Amino acid sequence: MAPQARWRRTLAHGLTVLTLLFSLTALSACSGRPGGPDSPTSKTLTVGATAEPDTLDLTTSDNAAIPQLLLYNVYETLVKLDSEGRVRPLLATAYELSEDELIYTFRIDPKAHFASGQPVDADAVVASLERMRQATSATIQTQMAVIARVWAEDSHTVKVELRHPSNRWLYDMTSTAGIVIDPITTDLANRPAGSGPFEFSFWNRGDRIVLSRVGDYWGTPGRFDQVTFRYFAEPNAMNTAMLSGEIDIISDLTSPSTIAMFADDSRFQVLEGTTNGEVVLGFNHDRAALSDRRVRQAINYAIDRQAIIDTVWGGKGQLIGSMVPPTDPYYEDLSQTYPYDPERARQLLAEAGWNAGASLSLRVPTLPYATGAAQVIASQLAQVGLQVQVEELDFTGRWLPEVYLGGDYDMTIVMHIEPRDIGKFADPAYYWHYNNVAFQELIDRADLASPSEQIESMRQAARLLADDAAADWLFLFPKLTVVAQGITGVPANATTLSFDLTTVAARS
Amino acid sequence: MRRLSLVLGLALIGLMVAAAALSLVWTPDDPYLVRPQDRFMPPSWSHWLGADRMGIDLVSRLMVGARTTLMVGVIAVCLAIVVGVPLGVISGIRRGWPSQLLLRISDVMFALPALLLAILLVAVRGASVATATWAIGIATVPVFIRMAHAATLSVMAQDFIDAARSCGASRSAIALRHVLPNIAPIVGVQASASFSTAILAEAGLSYLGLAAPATTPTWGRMMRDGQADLFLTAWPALAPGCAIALAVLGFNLLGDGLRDQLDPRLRELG
Amino acid sequence: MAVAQTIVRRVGVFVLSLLGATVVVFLIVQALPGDVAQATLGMAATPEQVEALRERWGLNRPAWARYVSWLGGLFQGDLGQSYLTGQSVSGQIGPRLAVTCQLVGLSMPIAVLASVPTGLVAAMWRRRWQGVVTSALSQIGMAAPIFFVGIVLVVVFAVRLNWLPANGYNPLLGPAGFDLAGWGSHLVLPVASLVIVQASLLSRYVRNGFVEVLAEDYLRTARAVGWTKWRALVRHGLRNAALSIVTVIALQISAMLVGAIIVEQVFALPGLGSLLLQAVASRDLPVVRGIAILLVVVVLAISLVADLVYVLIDPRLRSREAQ
Repeated sequence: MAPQARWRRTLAHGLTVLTLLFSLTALSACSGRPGGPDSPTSKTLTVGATAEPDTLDLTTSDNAAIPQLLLYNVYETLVKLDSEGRVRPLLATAYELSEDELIYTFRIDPKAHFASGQPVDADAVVASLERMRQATSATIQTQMAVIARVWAEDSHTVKVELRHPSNRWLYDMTSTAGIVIDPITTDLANRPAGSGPFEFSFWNRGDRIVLSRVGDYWGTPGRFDQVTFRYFAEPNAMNTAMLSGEIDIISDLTSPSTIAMFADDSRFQVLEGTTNGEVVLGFNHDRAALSDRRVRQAINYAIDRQAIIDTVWGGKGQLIGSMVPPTDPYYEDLSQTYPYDPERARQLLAEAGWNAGASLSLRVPTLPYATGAAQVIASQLAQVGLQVQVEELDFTGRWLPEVYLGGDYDMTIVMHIEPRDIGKFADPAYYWHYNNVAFQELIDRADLASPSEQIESMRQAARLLADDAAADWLFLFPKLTVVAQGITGVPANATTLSFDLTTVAARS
Repeated sequence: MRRLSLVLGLALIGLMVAAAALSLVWTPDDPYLVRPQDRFMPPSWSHWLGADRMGIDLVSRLMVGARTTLMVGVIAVCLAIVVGVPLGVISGIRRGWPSQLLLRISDVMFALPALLLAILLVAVRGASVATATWAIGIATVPVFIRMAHAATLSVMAQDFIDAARSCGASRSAIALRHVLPNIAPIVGVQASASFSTAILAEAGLSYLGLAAPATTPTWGRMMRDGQADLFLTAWPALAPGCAIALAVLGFNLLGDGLRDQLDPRLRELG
Repeated sequence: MAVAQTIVRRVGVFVLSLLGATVVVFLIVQALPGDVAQATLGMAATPEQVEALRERWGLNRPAWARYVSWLGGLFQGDLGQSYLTGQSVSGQIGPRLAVTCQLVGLSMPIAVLASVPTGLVAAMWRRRWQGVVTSALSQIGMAAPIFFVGIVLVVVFAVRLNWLPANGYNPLLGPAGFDLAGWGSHLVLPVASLVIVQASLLSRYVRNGFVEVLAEDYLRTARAVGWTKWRALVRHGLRNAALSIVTVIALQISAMLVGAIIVEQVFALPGLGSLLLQAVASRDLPVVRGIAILLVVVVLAISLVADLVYVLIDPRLRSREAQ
């Protein structure tokens, strides 16, 4: 009995230990040593980004992830914007505008050539511009509609004739509409080819796109042998990859509540740049409740915008108070038009005869800034007796058709990134249905006026919007970039659509 | 030991139900009130489990969340029982091609992963607790069809059914008087198991952003929001995580306990 | 003979189920609101631009016509073409499927291997501390949401200890050549998360399988003949445990795929899950349909195989089928 019992107990203990060990074996079953991100011999850079593009064809898609990767890195434009916003030569050494402001003449740098070795000549540029005129991308189509005719004057001179004078067009040519595509490429969606310092190397769909340096680039060569863009659907996964040193840069921080963990860590630096993106709590002016100015003002008083920035966007972001970002010439600080004052809000609601049982819908797209802000707004409006029903809608599937196109909402939150988009309030058909004749006249006057009068009219227009509480401008969206120590030259501001690698370098 | 899992399971579930019920009349703090100055506050007298990224009291939110989480489970499982059990019983009693067809359809539905169903449903109806509940419920229906079908077959093979038949009992009488009472315990065991699956499924769907909006506290949504802040503070993720684990444990133990109570052979052994 | 008949019948049912599944999948995917043309062109597009793109992609054809051409393609193994990339759907799904398969294929056997000894321990010493501890561990493993298990593993092993990469995927045969270490190290944590959750579940069933055997008459007989409890249990119990495992795998396969999809999200792996979420968001319906039908086929095929294995393992069932 005794020996058998002992044997059995030993076996029992053994099996239990084995059980516990199995969980550990599972961990190391297919083990290998942790792969370091880079080998020291070749210089590489890994950039974390949020949205993987479906296609790399700029002519068919407006997806911002495509120019982020390709513009100025793989594709180059005739002209480029510098950090002060002035137009500078890139592929074109010079450009001229005719007296009647209709014909642009571009002289192409004779040194320029594509990664394939083919020269960037007038024929290639004309072919690219023609390709862009046929583009299905809505933005590019609109931008290129002003072109009447494009032709090659000689081997390195291209002329473009416009239908009417347009300063805007040259500005558009510094972005996606102006890229010059290598004529040999047939598969723009999967194998883009241009004249930039990097060329497309390979694409592991769902994971990463790798660019490699062009050996005989015609300008200042790229500083990395290989640049990898890794795509993360889950922001937290990007954060952990950064914390464990697998990526060098977070190109766009979309879960800024965690910004402290990077800001407080000496291994990282956080860059805060400005954008054109006004995060707007939009009101549907067709709804009876919201057509009452007192209700709109009450909402403006009831919302503590600084609290939204603090809780939702890690304390980053700027208060604006109207539809004008500080980078516009007619900006003035209107952020204190409606200071946080719940008492005043209750009073205004009482004046408007607000029924305490009534509620408003807040239908927001499932984007981090919108869903976070919605939660704070619902809480704050409830404090002044205004109940809010929050609904989170898939952006393309439901928000676009129902809210944006269908107008089925009371309030919504979305960021408007188009430059100088204050004019949208002058269009009663636009999804806010804001119809204010005085405002429309101001905008019309500004279009026709001289530059100084234009600024004055636009200022008045912005003030009018704020006084009328046409919307609630929650904050100006900050561009937050996290960079590992030792990486320099990462552009902080989102002045272009590109994640421009030409200035980025690694301190060795 | 046998009794223990039953008692422990019931105790855990009781705790959850009590918290949910209490939240209807009282919570320590307003579960929706954003307090920016309290964000990420560690446990203290004012916030017993701390506060989340919005500065909302975690205990209050957990209590209200218990309500929604329970509701998801109850509605999804009830939906599955109400639809699945009658279909399973009928297909077990009447064996013909309609029953075969029904079983095959249920197999196809069973093969559609719940997540796929949820992703598609969310795209159609938007992410909400209701959508997630529907998706989980629909995905659970075939489980109950299969289970009820198999249980009915084994009941129908018993001698007393033949006896009832020879006494002239109709099919519906057999179903109501003999089959249903006999399979009820197994349905109970399965319901308990499905309940814990539903709680976990809600958490998984929330993680993928396919369930409750941020304004509706459910344990899954709280965990999703908490896990993103794990490097700053563990409480907002741990508190709902433990709540989920305890609830799932409770229903698993209840299921085990029930089964052991029902199976005379196992009872003898224990 | 009877076995062969059973097999033929089950395969026939399988094929019919597949046909039904195509209808279900097509109808569900068709019900998605919003369309790819609007999604691609975004907020800036005019209605005319959207309409032109719809016309170009054939979105204006009636639904039945699209179903018929899709089904026709399926018979030839052609899942159609993605609207957005112009690539074939199968070409797009292929590499993603490979990743998901690696994940499930590595974690399943490990989970099964881990669950047998743990289940055995939990059954043999049900009322001693060894059994209680094992049972408790498996209960905890079953009760933890899988994404949380994954995130905790990342925090501990990647961020704090820095032993393993936090996420990402490294193909075995990448552009840089054969890279076993890189491939393996990226898969350790995702596989571990799946194993922890699945092994806990499986071991529970294995335990119950063994406990059932303990109550059987033939075990008493075997012991009366002089076999030790262990010998009897291993001889008879293993078969019962195997049956439990096969049943659970068939029942749990879709839950496992869901688990794998969530794990892919936690670890940023380029598997089927991320492709599915992306395709739904951009309304690239051919891709959504392709993945949906693929998942359904896999689950149906596995339950078919489980059925057949069941018939082969269990002599009682075999004889019952023969009657």
